[in-house]
Amino acid sequence: MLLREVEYAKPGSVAEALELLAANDGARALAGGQTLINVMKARAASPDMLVDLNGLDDLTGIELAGDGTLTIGAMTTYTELMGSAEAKARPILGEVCATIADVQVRNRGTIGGNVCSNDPTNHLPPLMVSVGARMTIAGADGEREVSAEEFFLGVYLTAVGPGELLTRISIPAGKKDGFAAVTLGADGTCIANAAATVNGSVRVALGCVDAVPVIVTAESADGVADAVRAANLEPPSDVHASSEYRTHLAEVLATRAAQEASAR
Amino acid sequence: MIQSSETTLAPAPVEVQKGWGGQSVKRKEDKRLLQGEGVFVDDVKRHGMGYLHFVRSPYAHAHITRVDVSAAEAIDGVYGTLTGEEVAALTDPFFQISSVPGANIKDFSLAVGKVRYVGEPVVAVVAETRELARDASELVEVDYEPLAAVVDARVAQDSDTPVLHDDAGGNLMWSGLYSWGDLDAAFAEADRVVKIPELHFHRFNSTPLECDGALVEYNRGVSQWTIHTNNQFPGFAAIMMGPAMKVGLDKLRFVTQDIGGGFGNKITSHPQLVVCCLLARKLNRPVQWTEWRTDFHLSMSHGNERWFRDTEVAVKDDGTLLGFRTKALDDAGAWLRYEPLGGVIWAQVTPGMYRWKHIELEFTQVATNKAPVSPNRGYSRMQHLWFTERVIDIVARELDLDPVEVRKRNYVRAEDMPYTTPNGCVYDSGDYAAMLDLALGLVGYDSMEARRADAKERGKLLGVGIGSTLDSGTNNFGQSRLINPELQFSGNNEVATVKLDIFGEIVVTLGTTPQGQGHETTAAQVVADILNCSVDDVHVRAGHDSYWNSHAGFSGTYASQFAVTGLSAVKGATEMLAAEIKKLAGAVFGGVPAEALELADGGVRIKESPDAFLPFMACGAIINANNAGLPEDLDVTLNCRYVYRPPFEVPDVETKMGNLTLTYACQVHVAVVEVDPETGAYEIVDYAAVDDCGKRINPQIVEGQVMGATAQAIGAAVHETYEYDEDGNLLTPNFYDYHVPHALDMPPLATGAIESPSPFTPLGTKGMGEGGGAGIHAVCAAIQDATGQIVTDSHNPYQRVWRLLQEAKA
Repeated sequence: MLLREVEYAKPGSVAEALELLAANDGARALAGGQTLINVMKARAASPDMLVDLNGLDDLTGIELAGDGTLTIGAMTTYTELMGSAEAKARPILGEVCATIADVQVRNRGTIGGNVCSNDPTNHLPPLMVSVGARMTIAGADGEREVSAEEFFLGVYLTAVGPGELLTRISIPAGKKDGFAAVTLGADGTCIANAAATVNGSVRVALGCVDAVPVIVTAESADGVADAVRAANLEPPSDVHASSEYRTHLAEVLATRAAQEASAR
Repeated sequence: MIQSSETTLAPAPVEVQKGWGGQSVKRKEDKRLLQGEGVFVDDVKRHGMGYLHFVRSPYAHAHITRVDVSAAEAIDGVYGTLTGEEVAALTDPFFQISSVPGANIKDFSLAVGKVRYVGEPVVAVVAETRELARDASELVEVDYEPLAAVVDARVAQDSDTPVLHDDAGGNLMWSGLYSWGDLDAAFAEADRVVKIPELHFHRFNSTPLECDGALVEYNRGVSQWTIHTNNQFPGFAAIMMGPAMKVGLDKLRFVTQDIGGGFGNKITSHPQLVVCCLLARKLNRPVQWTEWRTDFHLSMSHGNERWFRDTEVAVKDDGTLLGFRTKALDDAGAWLRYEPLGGVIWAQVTPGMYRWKHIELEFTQVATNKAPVSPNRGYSRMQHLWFTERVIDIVARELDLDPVEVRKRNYVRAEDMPYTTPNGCVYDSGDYAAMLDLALGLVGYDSMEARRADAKERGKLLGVGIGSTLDSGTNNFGQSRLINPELQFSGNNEVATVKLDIFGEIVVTLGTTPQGQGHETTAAQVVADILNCSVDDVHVRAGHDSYWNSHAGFSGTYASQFAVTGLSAVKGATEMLAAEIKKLAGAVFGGVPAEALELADGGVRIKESPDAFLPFMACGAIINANNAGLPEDLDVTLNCRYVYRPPFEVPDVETKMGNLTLTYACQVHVAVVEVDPETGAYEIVDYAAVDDCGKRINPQIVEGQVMGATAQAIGAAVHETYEYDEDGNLLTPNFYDYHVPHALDMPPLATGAIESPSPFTPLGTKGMGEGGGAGIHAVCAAIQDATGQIVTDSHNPYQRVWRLLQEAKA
């Protein structure tokens, strides 16, 4: 590891973690480390302190309530989600996690880390928005809950403020979900992606096209393409895709995700 | 012999035949490599050593106005630094291969006065730990005065384009006109002239598991450096470093054990090695440099980017190819570290696999503000073969002919072998049409139209493409004179030493620097067949050490040659040893002639009375430790050194004619793709790779090389590209954006082989490590077939395919 010097703390409880984060301006929570450690190695980020959340039982576990609501601890790994009998209540979760990177990454990376890093090319931000997830954020003043729509605020920016932690994510019952992506290689970065959920009407969240997932809705899958066009997307251009190509992919992938969701 | 096999996870079956050669014996080196017991350069540590970190340029092109290392040097634990100014005072610029104007550039091991690409080393910092060296590097202050950058070779020679090297008077580094046959007659005879305005072969490289590195010690008493390094061509590094450092080559000892992949990219680490040497001497302590992956991506050894412009192809209506003319424009990046050799290396395969006779190619190489290029698996021939393969498929499309038929009509035929190309190269052997049939059979070509219809029903566009290429091996270094007639290089050589030690151990020392190719195994197979013993009894020293005195000027592992140069040296040395063993035994047995003796069962015996047996142990003991009373004139050391020298002449610099390489392994790959017409995304759903590298010493090792070359080509064709923005920033400097194929990206892969022994090599072998990039061509052709649009770029990410489909609609 060739990080800058960094303090390391391993709190014994969520309360202690929150204290550490609140007391140290430059502290960052360390979940699976699959993003944070890499950007630290590149020295693109240099927190003064890492607050390691691994081993905090309050942040783990997947529970299925009687009404079908899933509550997932923020430190749940992709692999745990894929293997969880409870999580099968919302099959799309495990299916999408199975397409994230490779086995080693999936064994370490967490659902909380994925959404909190809010890289626009991540898989889970659009999925959380489409399934109507609610995020529980703990801070010095106790817990608050925000919807996924309110959670994602900008590139690498979420509703989790200084001195706060995402502790769990709750996802309502449902099965009619779809996800589609064009990636750089079979298990690589998303060039564009879309998550769709049918709950009466179709709700699609588009990834990779803006700082936060873009929501479009339509009466049925047939109307999704028009809805995407009406959204007047202006996605960024980069080495993998021009803005024009991303705009086109968004339309195609939104339709495919919606069709998959409708067909379930 | 023709055979094919489906790839499975089961171990390759061992062919039962007489002798070790030709058998897939298990690799001797795998136990240590798989158990983590290899010794790679970063595993070498020394007492009191320091770790080196390079401060690199953030600008593609800028004057350096100030360098201040004082803050870095003030840190406790920082041992010292080296700046460009010191390098300029202590060393001469590296010798340039090029004639003018490239000959005039002044290349030092650190940037002097100016930086010319993002990632160029500017200052080196050595500290007690790797982390500290990096921390201290951030305290080195460098002031830059940024200049405009040139990143597009096509405008490099324009009058308003910034110039990298004022000493060269412009960005042109080298140019040469190659013209063979009678172009006017060819175009007069042609029914059609197919014109192709522009084709582009993109910039990428290979991905060794281990990046570059070195641990350098300086022995002050004898003024000598020991350079533990994974440089794959120490002979070349030495002739670059010695004159620059103003020392004789005896002062530079190169040592290697295991190397984690090379692909040619590790040929040009000599600038970094010079920096390590200077710092080891300055600081009087061993210095280790271990390159980081991002630094490798940014700054080491990209492959040549090349444009082919204004191409004209003379063809008959029946698809007979008569000739072509084109202008090749090659982007060397900022420095000529092995270049402009790429300006002639392509000519090893001038006509590709085809019989056209009239060829004209104007080659121009320019400098740009990008990382310097260096040989990359398939070096320079891959670019040219991609061009010839594109031409074939474009011609077939323009004439509405079947690409299979156009190939078969124009391939050099088996009965033409050995075949002399228009520029005097000699293709040694092969049956290209038979290889194509085998490859087509492996993908079920006969049922392709049914599969195309099936794909269409599923909303997919199916395409089939062929890549047929040559892996020319065993260079005649005399071809460098076509670049610069003043150069005094020609031919090639490799060395092996084989000896019997005191207890009869058979010890083999190679001059090569294997990077995973299994030299220990194949060398042992050759030795065991000659000494009539088991491969287990043959001990091949791991790695390379110039102290072993078992190397020559061209020693190394590069350019597809070990099976010829390395194994021929092993064969020669072993045959010398066998003769000496018989001579010794003849004397011991009281004057028995060699013809009456044979080697068997780990010793030597009299054919007619096998009880008269002298084990190797006795032979080794007698010569090495029990030699009193031996006849005075017995000229036996049981320590035999052989230098293999392939039969070459110096090419003619006027006509540019000559045999540039000794062997021509060939590859025919077929790719079947399915394109998603809505997104341009595509999947390679079927793939066949057929290889003919003459006699195979170890078929499993050959198959491994074929698979690796296929992965390299697929990576390049689909995802791997070094793209720069207009300011010269590399946009794909890490694995996040530079996607190498993972296991999941690889298609179902069927391999097949034909063996056409080379008539020109002692073992009938041919070099075959590079693979010619056949997969790039096959994928391009398959995309052209699927989309119906002419493919003009070697790199076809989904976006480009989508654009092709948009063009098709328009």
